[in-house]
Amino acid sequence: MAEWGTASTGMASASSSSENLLIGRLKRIENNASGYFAIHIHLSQLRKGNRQSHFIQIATRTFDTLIESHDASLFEMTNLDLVLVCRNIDVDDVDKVIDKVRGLFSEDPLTEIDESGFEDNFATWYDLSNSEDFASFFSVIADLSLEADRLQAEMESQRDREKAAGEPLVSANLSEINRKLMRSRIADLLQHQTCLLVRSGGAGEVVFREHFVSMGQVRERIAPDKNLFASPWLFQYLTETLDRRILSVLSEWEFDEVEEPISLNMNVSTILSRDFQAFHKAVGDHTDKVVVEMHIVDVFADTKNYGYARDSLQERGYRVLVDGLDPMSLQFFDVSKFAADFVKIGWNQSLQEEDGKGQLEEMKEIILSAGRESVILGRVDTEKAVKWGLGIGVSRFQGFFIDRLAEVAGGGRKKAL
Amino acid sequence: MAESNGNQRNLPSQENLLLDYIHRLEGHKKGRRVVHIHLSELRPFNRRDQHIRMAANNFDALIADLHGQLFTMKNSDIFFIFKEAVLGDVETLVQKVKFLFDDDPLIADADKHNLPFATWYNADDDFESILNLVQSIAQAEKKRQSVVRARMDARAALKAKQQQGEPMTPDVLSRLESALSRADLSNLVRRQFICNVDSKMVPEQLFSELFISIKDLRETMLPGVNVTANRWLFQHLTETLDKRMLSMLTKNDGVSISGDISFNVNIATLLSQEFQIYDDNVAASRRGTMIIELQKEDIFSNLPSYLFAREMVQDKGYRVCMDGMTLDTLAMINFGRLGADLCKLIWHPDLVDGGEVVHQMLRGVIEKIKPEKLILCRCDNREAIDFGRSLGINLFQGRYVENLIAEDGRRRELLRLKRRIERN
Repeated sequence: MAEWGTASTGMASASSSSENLLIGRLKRIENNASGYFAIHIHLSQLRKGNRQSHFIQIATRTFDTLIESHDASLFEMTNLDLVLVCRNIDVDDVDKVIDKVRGLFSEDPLTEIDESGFEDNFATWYDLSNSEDFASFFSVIADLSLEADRLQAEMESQRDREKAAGEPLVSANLSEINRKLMRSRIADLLQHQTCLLVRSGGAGEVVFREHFVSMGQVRERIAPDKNLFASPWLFQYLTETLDRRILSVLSEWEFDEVEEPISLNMNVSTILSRDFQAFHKAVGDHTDKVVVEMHIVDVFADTKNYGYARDSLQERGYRVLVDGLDPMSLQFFDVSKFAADFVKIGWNQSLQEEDGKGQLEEMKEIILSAGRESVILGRVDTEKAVKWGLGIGVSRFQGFFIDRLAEVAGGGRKKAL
Repeated sequence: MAESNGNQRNLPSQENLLLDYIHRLEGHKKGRRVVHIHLSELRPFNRRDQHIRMAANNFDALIADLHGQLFTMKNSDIFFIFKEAVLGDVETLVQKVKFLFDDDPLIADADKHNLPFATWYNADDDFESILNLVQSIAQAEKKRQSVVRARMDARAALKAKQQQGEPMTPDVLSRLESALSRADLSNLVRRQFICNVDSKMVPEQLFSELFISIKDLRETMLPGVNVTANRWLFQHLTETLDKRMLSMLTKNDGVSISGDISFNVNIATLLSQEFQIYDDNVAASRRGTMIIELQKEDIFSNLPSYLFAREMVQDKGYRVCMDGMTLDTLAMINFGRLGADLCKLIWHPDLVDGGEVVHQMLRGVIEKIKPEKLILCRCDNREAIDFGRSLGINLFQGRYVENLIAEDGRRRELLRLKRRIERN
């Protein structure tokens, strides 16, 4: 009958951790392991975006029926891996369930099986009646057990941090926060980040400087005890107010004196509003110095309005950028159809890990079809990211690493890449 | 950006297409004529879309034989550029068009004013004046478009307020959400059928969508408030409505769920406890009869969650339908890769009025998605269905489809009566 790991209670002491329960179980069957086998499912190796707790929970529940009807137990490891220990069950029955879980993560590279059909990074099978298999499985679990304490501590501090993120924003407190946002000073919170054109072997050239107000800092000022990111929709609502505040600050600028182009994040609804008209008056003939960034969510929320906003901006000489893309999303829509001047793709660590030839080729093709000149790789925080980008044909970059590079370049000491 | 995007922008206006054509005409203007028919001078009731279309249709044969090219301006004026050889035919056709409107003061009172019905040009001699005329028309159209856009803010907001009430605020949303958690919503649940409509306009019911009527909700709970005014606040409200819908479906209190059904949920709801409870209470065999509808903004705001949730519900046996799509959106996405079972395209008269460019785009989309997966929804009139069918769409939903079902019911009832009487 079902036997459940307890890691999910979170407060387990070392001796009753899931890893230790599993070790106890293994010790009991060591001398009579006939008919026993185990499957180790490496959920800890999924991409970060796929390791969300509700995903893992749903994956875990997939085993319910198998556990209820067969001699099988599931152990949830602290690092999110799952271990299924079975006795005398038809391998095909187990396989069916594993495939269901694999299907849930079918867009994750972890679940790809290589062409030889031999390497499976997602799940590893052990025949426990075979003493060699038993020993190697035992050693894997022992390692996980040793690692568990450290992970446990890490997770607790993570939980503390989440607690510090505050009460979730709900509609009941949205109105007050919105009012505060309308009243409080934000000009001093305006930051900028440089987008640089990088040519291999050459120095950088500024494409624009993105001017933005970080919501994190806004939160510090107006609602330190609230988590403004809890609901994507209420957050989006707040950004509409933030747009208007930023426009009112920038409308004071003398655009004659602005030397390098700037970029701004705006909701589509803001661009079609009077506040933007006032800003447009301030910009005057210098619309070529302004790039307007719109988020992909906003593009899809009302494609027609996005089209209006884009056309009205481009006709007046502004440039348009679509933000909020990641390399995975590029496979699901045709970015060239946005007809924007730029698209910004966020870089993340896992890209570098996937150096599979096929994926790189696919990326190269997407970049080419979008127009190489229009693609910006954002969130670039290491030199490796820049190299990766150059490798797939991108030459415009933005991120912490680029800011450092821009500083150096600005200081006259041009650094070659 | 890449040049290939030129044609992806908002569709070029006829005015711009005409200007483009005249520019290209410069090289071979010899033997070409232009007639400008001033339909814009007709009384408004005489220049409705169908009148202008009727007038333009007269030239179809000449266009098909490549003797000329026709452009219809926003102000209803028609330009026809043609080869000298067919001048006689064109003169007859213009006369025919004139007869169509012979009761209009433009023609009936022609002796009292100086307005011509048509102006004729010789492309070779009058090229400069044609070019000037067409340039000024294109310029005016461009200006009109930007005025329309600039007016969208104040004017559209005012119109929305008059029609739909004060825009919803966070405070109102908060009050509504707490009221919703207690209210009995079963009397607000509506049902609309998705049907295969055949050439005789006979509907065959495939499944029905259950939804909470936002209009009735507003009238019952928030008269005078426009709950859809702010997209984001509305989207947040739907998460609350989802959960109420799921609990009604679970308890089956007052909501009959016979036949195949569909309902809207947010992805966040699919990944929540509420959905798990719902799913635990659904008989496994029922899952195959249920279709889960997901909104496009929800899908694209978090693709990894969509992919995970879609896989999870499809594996359990539910089907997934992408809701709220427009032609623009469908042209942007890779439907096959997104892996949904069905897709709803919102009907809009622009689909017809957009002309051949839009029809071509729509044909491409239908081919990509396959007709058995595409539903044309919000069909309020017969035009929607005629047009959809003409392009190969078979599945429809909307008020007009509901009318067809009622009509079909009456017909069947009559047939039954007739048979009974015949038997007796």
